Amino acid sequence: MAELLEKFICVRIVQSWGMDLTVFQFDNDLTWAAFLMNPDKTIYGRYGTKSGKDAMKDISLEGFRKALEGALELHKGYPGNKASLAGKTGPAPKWKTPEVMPTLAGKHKQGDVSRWGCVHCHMAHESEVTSLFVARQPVEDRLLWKYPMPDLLGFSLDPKECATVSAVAKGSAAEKAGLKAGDRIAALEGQPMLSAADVQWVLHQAKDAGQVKAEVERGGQKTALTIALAKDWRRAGTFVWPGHITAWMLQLDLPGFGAQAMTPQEKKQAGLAETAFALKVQHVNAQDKAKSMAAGKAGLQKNDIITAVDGKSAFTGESDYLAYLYQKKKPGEKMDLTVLRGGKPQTLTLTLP
Amino acid sequence: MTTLAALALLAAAQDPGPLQKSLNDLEVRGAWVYNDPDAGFAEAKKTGKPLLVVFR
Repeated sequence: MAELLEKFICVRIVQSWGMDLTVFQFDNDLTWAAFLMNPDKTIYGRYGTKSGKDAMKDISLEGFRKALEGALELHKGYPGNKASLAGKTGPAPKWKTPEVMPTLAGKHKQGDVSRWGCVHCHMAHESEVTSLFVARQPVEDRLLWKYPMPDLLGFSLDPKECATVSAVAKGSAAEKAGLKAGDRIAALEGQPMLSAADVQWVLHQAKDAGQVKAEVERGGQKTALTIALAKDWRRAGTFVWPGHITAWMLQLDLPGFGAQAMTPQEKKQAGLAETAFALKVQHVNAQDKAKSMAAGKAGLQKNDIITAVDGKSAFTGESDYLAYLYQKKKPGEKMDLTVLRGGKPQTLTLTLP
Repeated sequence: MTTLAALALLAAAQDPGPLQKSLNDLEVRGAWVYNDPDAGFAEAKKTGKPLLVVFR
């Protein structure tokens, strides 16, 4: 690995102040992320994962080495392959760097790399969402259900290989497209694939309904496939899971509390249907004035069980509920929470910041 | 050593400065540029090498 790395100029970024978001667009809920690039900032590929404790199911040293070797091949073929790499750079974002986003501006100092002082990678994403909300701009599905993993379309990748399919789920969009275990995904939407992160990138850019064109290598032959994307396909996934910092911060930043979905067993014990929408409040902002105090002012308490928001209880889960907040509500609006406290229902009205 | 730990160790310098020391990046070979992508791009242009930019 060391010999391979000597063929690269290696850069490590430990904080996101000044990060050029016109170039460095990636899944900010990272465990570990890397870009492989030409000196002119053309991107050869991405590497890394967001799966936290299960990171090793998506990345490995073997896979990373193969991605590095793939990048060197692309570098040799450059600029003849430049057109195929253009899609690896995203459209210009609304804010060029994280610290100029309205909800982050003035809160951090340049050069501060301390744990609490630096701009963390995840902040670039959550601040984009909250800043769009504050600016009364639309928050698209792709900003919430971001960087979908390929299992959402029914296939998984071998972490020890370069974008090689390890399994395909029966009845999935991937199976219907003809994808098979062992297929090496050479290109998606014409972009060469070096990793699962590259696949995530293409899916992140994909429309809410449509298709993704793939070129796969199978038995020495190249085959063109088309994977259909059903309407609102992203929403079949979740952007909330235990330890997922962005989703937690999105709760604290707007309604001012953190809550987690209850298990069917917990709901049963609380006298609720196992399929009911129910969030148990874990934390209510009381002192952190940098965050929203809306829930605390409304009287919400830890261990309250939220069963409806604005009278709506048909949420499919935490992601759906958070999307409602950021996509349907506006700054300064009232929001009713129906809660169970000590088994008794009551309604609390909070005012969003 | 886990793969993640190995990857983190790869992002280290032979002659660590204060930042590298604070990150415990003390043991691994290779000249890494820290927190200065522009310097990395300039060096890549000069050498003709591609870049590896790590966020961690």
